[in-house]
Amino acid sequence: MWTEAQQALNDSTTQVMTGLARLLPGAIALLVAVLLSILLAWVLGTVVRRVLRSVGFDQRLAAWSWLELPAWFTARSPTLVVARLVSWTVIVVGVLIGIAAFDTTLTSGLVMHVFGSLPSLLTALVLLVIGHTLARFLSRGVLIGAVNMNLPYAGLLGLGVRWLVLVLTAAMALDHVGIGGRIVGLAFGILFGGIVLALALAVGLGSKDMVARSLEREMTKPPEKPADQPFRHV
Amino acid sequence: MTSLTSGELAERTDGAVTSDVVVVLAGCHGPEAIREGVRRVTAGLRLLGDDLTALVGCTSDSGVSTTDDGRVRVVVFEVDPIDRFPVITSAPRDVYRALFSAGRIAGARAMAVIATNGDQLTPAMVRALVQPVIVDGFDIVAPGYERQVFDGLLNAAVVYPLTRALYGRRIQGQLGVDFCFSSRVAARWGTGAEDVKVTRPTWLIPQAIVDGLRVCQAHVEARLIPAPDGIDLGTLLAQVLGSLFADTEQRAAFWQRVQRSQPVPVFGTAPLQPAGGDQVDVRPMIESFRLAYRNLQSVWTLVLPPATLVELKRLTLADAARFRLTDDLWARIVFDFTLAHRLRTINRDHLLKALVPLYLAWIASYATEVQNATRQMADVRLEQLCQAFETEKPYLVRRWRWPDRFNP
Repeated sequence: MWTEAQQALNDSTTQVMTGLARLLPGAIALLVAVLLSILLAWVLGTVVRRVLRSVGFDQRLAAWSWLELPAWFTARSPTLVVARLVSWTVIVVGVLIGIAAFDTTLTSGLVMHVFGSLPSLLTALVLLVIGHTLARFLSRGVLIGAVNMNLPYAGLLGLGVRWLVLVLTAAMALDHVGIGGRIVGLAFGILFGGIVLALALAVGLGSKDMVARSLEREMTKPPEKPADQPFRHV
Repeated sequence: MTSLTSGELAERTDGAVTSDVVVVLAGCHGPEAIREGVRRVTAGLRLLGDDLTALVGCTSDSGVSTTDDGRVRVVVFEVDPIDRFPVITSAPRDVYRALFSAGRIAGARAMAVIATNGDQLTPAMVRALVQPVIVDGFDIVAPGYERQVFDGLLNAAVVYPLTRALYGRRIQGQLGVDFCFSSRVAARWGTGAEDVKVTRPTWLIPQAIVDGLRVCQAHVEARLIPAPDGIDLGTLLAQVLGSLFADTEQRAAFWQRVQRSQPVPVFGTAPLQPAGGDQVDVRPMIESFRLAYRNLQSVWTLVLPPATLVELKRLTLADAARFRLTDDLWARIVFDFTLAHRLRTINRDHLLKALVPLYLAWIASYATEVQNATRQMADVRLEQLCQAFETEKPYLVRRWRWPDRFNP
């Protein structure tokens, strides 16, 4: 009895030790891969940063007037952002290589999954960046135009356009990566429809007297002289 | 049409190519208007001497090919007619290119573009434009139009003071449509088949100064035709100031060395006008400015330094009677927008349209001061503004050279 128990203990100890011994090279490989990837990331990041600075990447990017960069992006220098992106990509790849040393089947599945969804993630990221840029551009244009038209709710219009574009873009990005499924589309439809309905009600109910007065004035009075009539600008 | 060849011109003039003066009537449309325009141009040239020969280019065939004495020949130049607004918005290069090309071939001493039409195109006006080139040897004659107190406000508020402060010459008529050039100008500008360097009116005077050409101003008895109705102020500012600011960027190396301005010779004088013109209501413009101050903070803070924003806030609190946008503040605002245009701080179209409420604030302030004044009194007021631009110019130079250091 005691002998069998001792045998079982020995077997389990041997199994655990064997397992640990089998994991050790993988762990060392992971450590080495991470260290090497950090080193490589630092080197590549430095090279990319120096190259981009030498070609005046920040200035060139700023010269593209159509490209409205996010505030955080311009504040932290686009060169630094790109260099860090490269560094972190190298580190992530290094970690994946290190994990592959433990279990090839597990990691290959993980890697396949990560790389399989990478195009969708990147497309969603691009969508978000474009959406953000577009939202800023359009909202600023609407805001300035509305102010120049003397619309008292110009700020609200600009803000509305901004959030409309942002929400639309976010819904598109989530739909693209398959997060949320039909809920995203449904939620967006409800939100968008709600906004339109609210606006319609606001104009239809809240401003009906104003619209009636305006129409009455237009019908009964001769056209008013523009306020800046005496002025010739050019 | 791009540029004329000597063969084409000889064919159109029956071999009589050589002329003392070439005139393009860019504002006359239709046979009757062209015939009347040719008659007035001929009469104007006769005032300079009976022996002058001329070639008059028109936008279409009018049935006239020569005058009775054969000294003035009329040819169709097939140029795009100049309308007031396209002169500002797009490049009227065909007119200039055709003019310089014909002038070179004809060996002309003077070349004039005249876009004023109708009763305003008088023989005296033709003489005023051509005489300084033919008689006094000037290279470019800029027009000085009859101006009411509230005419040419964009020129008065920005274009003239800025150009004068930058390039050091006091020439007011650069948004005009009537100019006269010498043979030296034709030899320098618009040679070859490529796009001529003359692209926009705001380009003419700065380029002439940079090239060391002799520029003068001639008073013409005509009121500059206004931009057509339906053009919104934002678009107008974006087009005019966009080209002006872009041009400023091209010549930064030159204007940074210029200090103070010099007058240029002026021929003719504007008649005295009685005081008390149009009564204007400035309150809508002030309200526009206040509305913009409440809503455009996110844009203005990218362009204007905090001190300017504080002064603008103070301005929003002033009532209509005490509403004054000081000259030095306005000069700095224009300089800040010039710099933001160069740095592309925001989209350029947005930037220029964001200037509209500030421009309206300037008009409100100016109108309050001069609405009962004569043209001459208003000119004195505008001279103070120009001097403020010159005084504040070092601010622009500093920010231009070290934009980061002075970044608001």
